[in-house]
Amino acid sequence: MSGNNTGGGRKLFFPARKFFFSEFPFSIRRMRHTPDDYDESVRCRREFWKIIYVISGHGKKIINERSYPLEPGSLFVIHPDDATTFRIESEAIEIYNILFMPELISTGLNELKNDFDFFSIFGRDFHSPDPSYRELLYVLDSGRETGSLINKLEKEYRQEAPNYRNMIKLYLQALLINISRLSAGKIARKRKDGAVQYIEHLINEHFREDLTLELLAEKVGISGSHLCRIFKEHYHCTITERLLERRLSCAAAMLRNDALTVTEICFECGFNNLSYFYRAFNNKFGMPPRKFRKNLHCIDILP
Amino acid sequence: MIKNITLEVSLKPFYDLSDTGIAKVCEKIYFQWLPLFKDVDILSIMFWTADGSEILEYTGNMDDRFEWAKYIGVANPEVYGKIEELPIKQLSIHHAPRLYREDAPEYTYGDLRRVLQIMRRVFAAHGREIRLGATFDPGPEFAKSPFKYQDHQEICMADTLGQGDLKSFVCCYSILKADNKSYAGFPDGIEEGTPLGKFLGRQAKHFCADMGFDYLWLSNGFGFGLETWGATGAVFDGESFDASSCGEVKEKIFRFWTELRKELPDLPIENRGTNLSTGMDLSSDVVPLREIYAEVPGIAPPPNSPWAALNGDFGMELAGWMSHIAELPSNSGYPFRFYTHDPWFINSPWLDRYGRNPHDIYMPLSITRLDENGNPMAPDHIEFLTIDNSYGELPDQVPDEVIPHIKAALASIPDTAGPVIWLYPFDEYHDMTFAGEKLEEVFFGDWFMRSAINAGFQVNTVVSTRNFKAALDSGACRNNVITAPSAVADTPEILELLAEFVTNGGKVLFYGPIGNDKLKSMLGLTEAAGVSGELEGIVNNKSIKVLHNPLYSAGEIDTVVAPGTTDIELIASVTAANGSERVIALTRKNGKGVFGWVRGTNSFTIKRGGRYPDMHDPAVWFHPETLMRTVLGKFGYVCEFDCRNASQELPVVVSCYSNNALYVSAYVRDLNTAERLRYPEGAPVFVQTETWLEQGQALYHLPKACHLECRVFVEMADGAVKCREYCPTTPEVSRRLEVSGLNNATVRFRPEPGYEHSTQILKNPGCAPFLKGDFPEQKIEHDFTGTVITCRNITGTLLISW
Repeated sequence: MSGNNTGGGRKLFFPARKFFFSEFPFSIRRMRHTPDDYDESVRCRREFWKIIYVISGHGKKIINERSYPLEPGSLFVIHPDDATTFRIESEAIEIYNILFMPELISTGLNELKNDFDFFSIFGRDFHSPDPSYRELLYVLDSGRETGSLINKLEKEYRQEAPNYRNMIKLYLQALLINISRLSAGKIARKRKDGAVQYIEHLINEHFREDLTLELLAEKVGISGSHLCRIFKEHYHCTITERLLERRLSCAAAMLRNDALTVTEICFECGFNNLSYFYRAFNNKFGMPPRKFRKNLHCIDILP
Repeated sequence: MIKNITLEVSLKPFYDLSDTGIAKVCEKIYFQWLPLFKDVDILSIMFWTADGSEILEYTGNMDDRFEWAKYIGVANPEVYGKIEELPIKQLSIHHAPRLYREDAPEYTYGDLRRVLQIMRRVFAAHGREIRLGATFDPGPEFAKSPFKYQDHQEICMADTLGQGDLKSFVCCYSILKADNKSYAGFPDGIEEGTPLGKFLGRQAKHFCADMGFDYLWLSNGFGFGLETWGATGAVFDGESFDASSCGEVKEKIFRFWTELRKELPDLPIENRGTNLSTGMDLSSDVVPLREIYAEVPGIAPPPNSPWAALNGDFGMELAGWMSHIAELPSNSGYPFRFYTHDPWFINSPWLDRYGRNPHDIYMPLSITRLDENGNPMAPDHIEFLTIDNSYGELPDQVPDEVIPHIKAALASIPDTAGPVIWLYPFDEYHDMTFAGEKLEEVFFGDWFMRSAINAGFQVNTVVSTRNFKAALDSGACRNNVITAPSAVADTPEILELLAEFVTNGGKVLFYGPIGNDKLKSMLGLTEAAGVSGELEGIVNNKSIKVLHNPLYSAGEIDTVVAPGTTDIELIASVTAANGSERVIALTRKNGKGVFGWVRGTNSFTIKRGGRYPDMHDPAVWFHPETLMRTVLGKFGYVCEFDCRNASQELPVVVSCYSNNALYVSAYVRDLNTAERLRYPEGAPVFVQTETWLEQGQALYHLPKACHLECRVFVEMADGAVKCREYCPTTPEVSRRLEVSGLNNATVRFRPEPGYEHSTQILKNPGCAPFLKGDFPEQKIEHDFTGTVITCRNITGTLLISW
């Protein structure tokens, strides 16, 4: 991927009302573009989300002035804030455009939130993901299953069979889950360091929650044993040790605040067993939490 | 005789920087402390301007602003690492400093110079010259310091604030990285590899000369090793001693002083010193105190540390101080420091930590040393940290209440060696450490003495092995008890002097492992296989459990009584799980005198990350440190405590002689304790007290802090005795004591010097002027301290007048 700044041209904004009815904000269309019918200098933004799936042809998809290869099987989830355009390098390019508002899947979204944090991007408050995070949405080799799901979506949308809207919602969810798995897998496969850094990021930000190795492995889409191995290679400690370290350092910091009891601190820092917390704390700091707190108070030395 | 009073002050009271505003504060200081310094030659005022970074960062420009100590709390909380984001009121001031007042002024170097000039002018107007002191502190507490914590973090090497790995304190032997900023002494910047001693010395020279400071104070252990608040250090990590590094570390510390003095040759340097002892500092940080004293010109020895104020650890404060003053720099006196306020952490020890109790005045001022002529030598300098509180206030209450106690303590300052003299191996400990030998023994000795004092062992006088012969020759040590680590026996001349002392009737109490065969033989001991760990034993017919860790206690316990030994009184022994029994305390008569010995166990554990040892739970483990007091009781100095349970904290007691009276100072940690006292003269009946005599001992319930005069000692059957100060009522008499409740008693009275033959003792007196009545026979005797008048078979009341 290389930067290619052609962002000085016209800008278009597509409101949702022009593309679908408000009671069912979804559409899927198969499109064919040729270099002649496409103005590369125009930047498009939308009120809705868009998934682009490439059926044939090749070229570049330019998103926020970064270009990504377009090849059959490439898939891009375009955030409403993204400014996009195409550069078509073949005779023509055939794509599916899937347009939707997040409300369409909001019912099931909460249940999916923890999966790689992927679905948080569809939340209302999600506006400024960093570029590396945004890249999780671009899958360059989406595989047969994705193609199959998109075909089913297109068929349901076109045929309008009984309960087709529910089926579309379900297929859309299935598609997004599939994309999230592929994104995580991509990170793990192509950027091993990124995966371990992402785990480190998750530990730092979510250590208060019930993080397990299985959950973390699921989040980056690689096996637990492999994740453990690459994490240890990188940080010279196990994921469990890292998580414990983060929880204990938070506990030590919180012990400076008298307003909280040791038990409150224990649970606040992600421990779910007080005696284990005491044991681990004693092991790291050489004294139990209360003594540690007492010692902290002893540091008021006189010069 | 006090020659110098130092009033320490921050800049906080000087928030009005007009000349009038500054002068007003100076006037207040003058009149508040005048009652104390009016008869003293030298008055010093020492400024806690910032944290010493104002010296490090000084460029010579009077218009430069500097970060001054205007905060409450740790001014550089980032040393603690990431602080959780909490509302400021939920964070301690250690983690969220606050301005001491919203309108705290900015200070330029010119402003500081003006404050000093006005201070001099105000005091001069009253006819007082003053010395002005600058301060350098190695820590992060007092003022924001970009120099220490941003630009030159490499000089912060010590984890003094704990826990684990917070490099927060500057180490004296650190080396600076290159820096192209301009400084007063280094206009072209700092060259890579510049020693801190060189940099600080040159900067201090410029700063002190330009500002008008007359001396420099190095605070909080700076100049004396790496970890100045903890049991561990450069060569002891809590798990093992690294003897191989001793030479290198010693050289580094000494080099700091050489480099500092080379740049700053003439300015007097006063020191806070570490919070520990000579032996502790040697065995953990290889601090060459002897070499610093001997070879660094113009240096003052450290005062007593603030442990009593912080946590009541008098053992640490007193043992540490005695070890530091056992020897002194040439022609130097030594300072006593009292902790009235703290300008940063919202505590004013006099008012809160001490609770207006004067124990940290009377107990340290009951300590003395014997000099190279064997003469007792009291402190000649008193320092007060500080005269202003954390809000920059100067409350009258503190000097009003503290000064009378200081004066009373000075009026009863020891003028002769006390009942127990600590023979301190100042030279030997240095030699052992520098040779990398027996570090465990150096470590053990002072920690053991510290805990023994905390367990009620009374010792008030220190003499170095270097001065010991002079002390014996001068008669300063006669029948007093001498206590010494067994390591002194490795110096043949010292062992010979001690043996002779005992043969002639003296009492010597050794502590620690015995490597010397001659001493072993004198004590009637022989070597056996060592035992350690959990041991069982019997003391005073009670079963005990001892936890003996060879690391902290200079090896295993490996002595038994030699076959055929006589004249031994076995006081305590322990048995290992395999049935091996070892002796841990005994006395043995020798000639006219007696030897005592306590093997000693440091009943503590030093945990990783812990700054200080944790004492073993006394409810579970017997502390052999208490055996020092037990053996002293066998020598006639009984000090026993009635406690409700083994967890009760024991009182600290210091006895000294002044003006031929015995003075007992105590700090009673738990008022549920009762004290039982007896001295060789008899049961002490303190002036203005009642006591119940029981089995020859006087039973007291002493208050939290006391300093009691005792001239009357009684031997009699059980019963209540009272000693009342009676008014003189006659111009020819200066004092009268009335002793009542006597029943066929022997009464010993210690008269004031000059009144040995004119003291009048009247039995069952009638009316004033008390010239007629029954005057019992007075037998005048002399003990090792002074004169004692003895009256026997007394029943009723005695009126003693002089």
